[in-house]
Amino acid sequence: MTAIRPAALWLITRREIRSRVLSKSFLVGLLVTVVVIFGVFGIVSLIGEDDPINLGVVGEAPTGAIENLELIAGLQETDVEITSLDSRADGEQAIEDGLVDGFVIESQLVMKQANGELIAFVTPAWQQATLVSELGNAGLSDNEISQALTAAGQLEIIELEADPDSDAKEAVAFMSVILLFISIQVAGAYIMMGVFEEKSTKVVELVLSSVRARDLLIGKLIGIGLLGIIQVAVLAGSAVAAASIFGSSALPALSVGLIGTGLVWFVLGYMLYGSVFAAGASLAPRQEDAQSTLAPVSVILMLSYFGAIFSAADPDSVLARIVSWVPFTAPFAMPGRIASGDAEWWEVVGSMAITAFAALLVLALAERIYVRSVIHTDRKLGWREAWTLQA
Amino acid sequence: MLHISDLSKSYGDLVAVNGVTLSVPRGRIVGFVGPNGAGKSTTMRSIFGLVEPDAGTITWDGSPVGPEHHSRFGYMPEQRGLYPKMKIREQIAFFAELKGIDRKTANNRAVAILESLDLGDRLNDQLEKLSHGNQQRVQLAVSLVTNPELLVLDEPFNGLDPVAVNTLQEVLTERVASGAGVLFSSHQLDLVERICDEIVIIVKGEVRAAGTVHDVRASAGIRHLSIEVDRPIMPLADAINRPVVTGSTSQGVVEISDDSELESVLAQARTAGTVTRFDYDLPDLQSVFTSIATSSDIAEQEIS
Repeated sequence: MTAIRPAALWLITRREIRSRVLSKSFLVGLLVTVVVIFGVFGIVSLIGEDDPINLGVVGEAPTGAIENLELIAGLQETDVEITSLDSRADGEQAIEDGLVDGFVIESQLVMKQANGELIAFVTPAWQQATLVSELGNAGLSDNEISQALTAAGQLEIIELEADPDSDAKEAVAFMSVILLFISIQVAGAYIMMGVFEEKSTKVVELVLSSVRARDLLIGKLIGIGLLGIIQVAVLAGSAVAAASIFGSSALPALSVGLIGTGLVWFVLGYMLYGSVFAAGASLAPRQEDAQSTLAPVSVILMLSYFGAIFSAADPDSVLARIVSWVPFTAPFAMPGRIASGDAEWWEVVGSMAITAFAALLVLALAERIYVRSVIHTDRKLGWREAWTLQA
Repeated sequence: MLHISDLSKSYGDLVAVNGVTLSVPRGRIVGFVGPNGAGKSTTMRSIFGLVEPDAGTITWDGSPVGPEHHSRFGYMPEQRGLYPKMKIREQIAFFAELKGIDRKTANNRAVAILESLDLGDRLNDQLEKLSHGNQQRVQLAVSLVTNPELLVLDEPFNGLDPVAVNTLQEVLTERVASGAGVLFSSHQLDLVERICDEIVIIVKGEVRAAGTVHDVRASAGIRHLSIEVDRPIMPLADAINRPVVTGSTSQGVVEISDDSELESVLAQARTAGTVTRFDYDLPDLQSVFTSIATSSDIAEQEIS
């Protein structure tokens, strides 16, 4: 077997990229996905956003009361807006106009109807502030007051598994699995169409008169793979951008590291599945034959996807652990576990190594089938037949 | 010079090519003639490694043909095909670059060759936007763009209109004049006879005749005698006591295998009337080809 010619390889790669990047369907597809991502985050933020507390204050609030309120509300991820009001009548008008939920005047909290949230936030804030000022009036220094309050037994909060973002992590885990699945499937479809186009138009005969079949295969895989990486990066990037613009709670779990490992998993999964897609497409002289020769690949891909989705729902389960190590499922399952924060670093590295090894093996097998079958433009071949075929 | 020696290739029980030997010298046009399925395409594809022969060698100037040669050869496959969505200038430049020509030169040559084929105003059109005939021209341009030392064209005249046939003929003559060798296959024997320096006739995977056009025509061992009689008193065919290849009442073509027969044929023709034409020549390629192709069929039938 002769060595790969880098120059020819690069020409093939460049043609793949150019012909796709310049095609409208690629650009429109990418644009639509970005718009959809922004749309989803926008809708989620509109639905999920808590109403801020609008509190009116007539006169001066006790020192520290507003700060206390903001602190308490902040624990519930609720914003507070304070409106200064001139009089009781002014306040009642403001409630009527919907400008405030309620207002405080002297020692009264005035509302239209009892509002549990408002009471729960405002009452302790004012109580504590009033207490502090009363104690101050009684001649205690600020220091003594704060000591006394601590001694009075305010409960310190201790979380056993401190993770304020567990919901967000689960959401990101699902998103990772789905994004990787879609990206690999789309790239696979591109490969299938590319191989099929060359075969059905018979241009492959001309290309192979000056380039070896494996150069054509590998150049094509690299070209479409680079486009796939761009696609994944744009999608992940717009997810992060959308999350931060709309202040989504998923943002803390969307780290650069996660996107980085996601890209590695894309490359590994792409290598594993892409070459099989190429081999499958090379067996078929017509589009409908390509569907049937690729049926086994599609089944494996779908099963892997569902395995990964189930394991993302329960990242600690035995199933999740197993599928995150099996080469064909790992590219979807492991990113889900990484996003959930349940994978140890050595598990990630080990699973990546196994998948990479499997990918190289599959590439070699797929190459053999592709090289033998791609030139036969006249009839449909079986996987087994192609394996032993002669040029 | 391209030299193919004892090339054989079978697909299972089907013998596609059986011991084919042929040469294409520089500066010569070699026509490759044979019925469908005779092994022409298999032979041509094996030059580019698209077929892995079971036996035999293919050499260029004495050294075995490999990838480094393929970049110096031009090829037009029987199954035409290019990238439908690619602009034609880019497409031709792409194939030139695949053969190791740098991008700038490839681009310039693509433009030049398209202009010479009257496609200068379509440079940035996608291939699929072109008419069938113009797509054929692009296909030809791809095979010519590298100024190849050897041109291998599988049925290049198929589907061409008479003007395009003339253009292609001129292009081939020009390339051969500048030292290239050309091997092309064709069904159109009149064309082959007109263009080629040498021909190779292949039937059922085996070479049945090869050499200059004259040699091949002579190899049949027969001559065609054309006779015309003015105002015949009986049909010419009745007067002549031998099979007539073509003919009417007043004229005919007769096969003879020995010059000594000339006198007796002339005497017989005179019994029909005044002989106004009596000349003889080698049979045309069509007749030679037909007799070779049918004789092998007969041979086959006798065996089976």
